[in-house]
Amino acid sequence: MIHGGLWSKEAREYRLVFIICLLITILVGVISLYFPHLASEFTGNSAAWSRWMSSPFVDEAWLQWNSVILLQLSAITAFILGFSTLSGEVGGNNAVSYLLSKPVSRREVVTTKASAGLTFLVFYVYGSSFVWSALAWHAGQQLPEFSVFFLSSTVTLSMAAVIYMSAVFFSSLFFRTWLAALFSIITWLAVFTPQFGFVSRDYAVFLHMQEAGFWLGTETSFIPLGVGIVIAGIFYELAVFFWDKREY
Amino acid sequence: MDTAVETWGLTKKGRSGTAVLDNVYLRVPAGKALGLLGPEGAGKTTLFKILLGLQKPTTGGGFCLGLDLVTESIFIRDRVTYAENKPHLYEYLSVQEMIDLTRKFYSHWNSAVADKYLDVFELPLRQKIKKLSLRRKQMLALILALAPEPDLLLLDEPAPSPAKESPGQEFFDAVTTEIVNKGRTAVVAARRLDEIKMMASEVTLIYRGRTRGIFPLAEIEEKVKEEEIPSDAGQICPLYFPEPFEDPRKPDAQEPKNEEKPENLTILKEEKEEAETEPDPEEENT
Repeated sequence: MIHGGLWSKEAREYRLVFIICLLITILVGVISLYFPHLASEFTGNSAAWSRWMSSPFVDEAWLQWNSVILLQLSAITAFILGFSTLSGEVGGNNAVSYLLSKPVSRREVVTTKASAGLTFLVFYVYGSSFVWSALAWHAGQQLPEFSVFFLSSTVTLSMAAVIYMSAVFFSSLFFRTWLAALFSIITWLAVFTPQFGFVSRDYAVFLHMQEAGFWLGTETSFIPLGVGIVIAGIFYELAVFFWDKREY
Repeated sequence: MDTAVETWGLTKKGRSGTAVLDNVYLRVPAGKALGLLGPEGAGKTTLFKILLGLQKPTTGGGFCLGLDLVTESIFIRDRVTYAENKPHLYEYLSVQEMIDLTRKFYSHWNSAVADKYLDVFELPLRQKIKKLSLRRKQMLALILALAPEPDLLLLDEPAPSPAKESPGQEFFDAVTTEIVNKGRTAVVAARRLDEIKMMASEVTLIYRGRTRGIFPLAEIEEKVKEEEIPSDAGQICPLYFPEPFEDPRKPDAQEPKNEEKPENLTILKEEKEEAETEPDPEEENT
């Protein structure tokens, strides 16, 4: 189902975006750890930052990383990786007739491309969390247990995977990459909107995937993780369906 | 197998319902190079894309190398290669990387053929594709199409006008050596007769989405001389598709009546007649 040659080509296309996103995320992590005054000026919440940065409020510091920094930046990374996945072959490289004239099925093309993007997301989420952990330890923070670290990162990864697969789905609908980007961003803004209201907050789809509850010891992570995997799977099947229908 | 491609009633309609291909009956004999002569927009590229499974026919069907066009297209693509006149390759890859990528798609790949023509065409392996001229991109696309040693090669307008975009004699020699002389099949789509002349000795005409016959090249050349017209498909095709011939892409176009057909027409007449006499189930119901 995964084509080795095509996967290598995709990895080559993704690597620059991956490196840039990883470096930016690590940079934000460094600022939050070593230059908290910069972060507090930026966010306008100096009291919270100073509280998060003072031991033994380790949970708060990790909450900030996992629920805010990693969540937001992994969402942006997932968008960037996803919306050109299929439309990029038509509008970007314009090599779709080359690719589809080869003995490879369209499902194989989507699967290979999606798996390459997801692999980069895995490296991005765990890699950046690992680097941030090392930096936090260097800054005098107490590290959480490995299982907690792994599970919370995995839930964030599942959310990023949903966003990535939705962007892949939109890229199967449009010939132009910017249209795929526009529609995926509009969709996710609509999905995130309830999160900003006091009344609608409890109904926001991804509020429960921010791991806040997990860090505070009140919720399990398995439900949002499972939901994320199922939704990502649905977007994958939709992407295959529409990509298969298109004629080039 | 004496037939490489066989289609019946192949019709492809666009989104607006206009027919890009209209009831195409085509038989390509195996082991030969066949020219497909037609003006711009005649349906040559669409026909190739249907043969490769990039597009699906609206109605009709066919076989390519004995494999069904719709249900077995992935197997067809392992044995049929396609080279465009303006190849769309991955511009950021080098020549070597493009060859490595393409090789991994096919079950069979002859590296000796690729190496031979890399030398003949003097293509630098480390050169990025975006830095290659159009001629060199065409040559690379041809190498990528020849190295899998296909049973059928589809060449889409290999020598378009203007002449500066033409890939040169060594390009056509490579096709002759690797395809024609080795008993494989090639279909060369072209807008001008001299594009075909370098590789094929027989020609099928395609005009306004319809195909007609397999003519000896010499016969068409003679006709061109007689009529004193340029060897351009736009001038030649109307001679073989006699009026009244309405463009099927017009919404109210109808099948031409009392259409004269050339003597050596090799359309699959019997199958066409069968299709025509087959009762329409909707009519039967009414």
